[in-house]
Amino acid sequence: MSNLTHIARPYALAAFEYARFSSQLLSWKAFLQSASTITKDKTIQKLLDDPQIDQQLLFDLFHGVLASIINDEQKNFLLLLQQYKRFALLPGISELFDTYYAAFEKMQTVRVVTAIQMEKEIQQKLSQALTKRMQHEVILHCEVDPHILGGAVIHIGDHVIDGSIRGKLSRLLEFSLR
Amino acid sequence: MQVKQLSPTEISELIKQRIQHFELKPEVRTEGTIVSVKDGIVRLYGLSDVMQGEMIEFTDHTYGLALNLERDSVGAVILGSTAHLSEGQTAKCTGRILEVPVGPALLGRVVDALGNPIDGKGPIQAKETSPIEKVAPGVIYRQPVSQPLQTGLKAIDSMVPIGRGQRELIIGDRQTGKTAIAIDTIISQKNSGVKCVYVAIGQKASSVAAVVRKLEEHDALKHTVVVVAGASDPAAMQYIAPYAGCAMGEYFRDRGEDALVIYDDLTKHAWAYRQISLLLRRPPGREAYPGDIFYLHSRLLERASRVNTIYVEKITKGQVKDRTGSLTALPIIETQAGDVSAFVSTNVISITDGQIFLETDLFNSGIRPAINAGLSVSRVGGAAQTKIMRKLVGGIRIAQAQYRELAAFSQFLSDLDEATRKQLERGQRITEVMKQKQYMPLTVAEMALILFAADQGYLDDVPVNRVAIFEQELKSTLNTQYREFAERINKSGEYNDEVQQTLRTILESFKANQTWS
Repeated sequence: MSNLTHIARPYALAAFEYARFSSQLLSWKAFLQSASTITKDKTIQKLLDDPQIDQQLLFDLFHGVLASIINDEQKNFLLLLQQYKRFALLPGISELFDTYYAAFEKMQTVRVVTAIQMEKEIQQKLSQALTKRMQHEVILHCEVDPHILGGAVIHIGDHVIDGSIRGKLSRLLEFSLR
Repeated sequence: MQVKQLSPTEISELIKQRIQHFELKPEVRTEGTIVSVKDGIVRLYGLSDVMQGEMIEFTDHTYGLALNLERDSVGAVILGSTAHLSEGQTAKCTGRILEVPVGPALLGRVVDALGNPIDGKGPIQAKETSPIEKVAPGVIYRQPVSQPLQTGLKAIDSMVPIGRGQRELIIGDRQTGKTAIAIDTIISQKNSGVKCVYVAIGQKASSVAAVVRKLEEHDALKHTVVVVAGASDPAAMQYIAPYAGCAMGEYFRDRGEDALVIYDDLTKHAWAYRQISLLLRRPPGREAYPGDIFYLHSRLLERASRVNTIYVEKITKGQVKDRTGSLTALPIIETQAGDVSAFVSTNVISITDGQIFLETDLFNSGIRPAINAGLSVSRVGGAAQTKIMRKLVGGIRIAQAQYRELAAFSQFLSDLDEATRKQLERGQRITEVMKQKQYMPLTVAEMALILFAADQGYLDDVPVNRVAIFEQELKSTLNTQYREFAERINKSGEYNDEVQQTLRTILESFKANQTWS
């Protein structure tokens, strides 16, 4: 997994730098997202896994589907992928591109886990508080997990703010056994 | 029998007291996901804030050590069992580096590399802990090695003397008595106040048990900590064991005391580190060891040092004044067929302040300890020798060197002149004197007396095969009839005309009585 990210990184970075330079970030984002959706199709996946497949055929396929929405540069990008037989990397490239885009736009996806469904009002308050604290625009993804008993667990990238009853209880247990 | 029972209110009161100071703040942590687990190595995704050498906490109180920080992943070794870890589990940063318990409570105990007791004597009531990786004291805080560390072995204390704060390598093939020297040295510290740490790395559990039993038998366990990372323990434990042992020794050094740490042996430590490094996919170098194998041992042995009063005062925050501390290290290296030019052995030879070289041939011909006097050196210990020893061994070293040369040469001669014959006989007797049984370390006075006898020719008319008995009888005469003198020498180590005269008197009256033949 990490190996694929390694290979995908230069492609994603190049695409992002170019898109930013030519102010076509959204168009590139859409292009990469659609391209990666194509690769997720089961039949396409079979073709991608086939080592004997003619790369020209793959290019024609991708180009054929995307022709209506892509420009010349994006077509060149596909040609590049064809040249180096890297069509399978598209999901990785798209994912990395999205990360760069989010960082550029100062957006941060935040996962919030609660024991019961959060009310809209609280969600708004939370996202405001987080926006203020992180100096980033916050996109909230709410999940419900009754196992945490109460409170909330907030995941921001690798960082976790654990304010759940479950976490507190387990820490209390450790504390009292010390 | 009366059983005291607690009432429910009392129990709840106790619990209340316990959790009174518990703070209910939300916990902020950095998490990662396990991508793969194999051979004691875990790869993690995430953990972007993790530091090199930081402890990582897994489920069920399992800890790991972050060793590889890569662009997309973190490589860590697990300290303990990996059976319950699987892909997809989360792990979190702790922000701490690995610490082990230290202090006098550990003396007399056998612990694993993390400081957990494994001798079945119950929990260790250590008040303090110390990080296993610490930077060695800087040049400002050091002091020259000037006090002797008596190993109690004639051959070592006379020819390759060790000072407190020195690093002296014990090197030799398997079965040449490397561990025996280390154990004798520990036993010899019984009354010297030097605290000992014996670190067994990658050894058979039976060997370790034998060592512990011997120490117990000779009443030497009470001033010793035994740290064990056996052959069946994970490579990660074998890798951290010497650092843990060093931290335990440093505790005493930093409080103005003297400590001795024995790493038995660093060859296996290097193997364990090689295994970890290769599994972490670090590029292999010579003999497949990683590039930082030199630093692995140099940073460990650099922590053995003699520190000055300023350092001790600084570390103890003024509680201990006007005292210097020392940590002496005796690393052990096992060679293959006497090859000292292998990678790890040359490294450690260059790091240490001298080496004691043991040889299979000498061992098999009955010279035990099988020390090769020509190849063994001590680069700083000479300055630390007691006056009496320094005075007496000067002649012996030279006589031994000449004897070896002559012994090889004389094989080609048919008849020898008187002077040569005498020199050969003197050499034979000195060689005989240098032999010593295991677990019988000598005091300074005992050693001085027998060396004086050898040097001054009192042994010349003693048959070679009676030298050992002569020595034994002489020793008991010294300890019974001249006890006060012996104690004075042991304490001060002085040498003057009066001491010389007393030594002469002892020997002459002893020989006149002929109790040895």
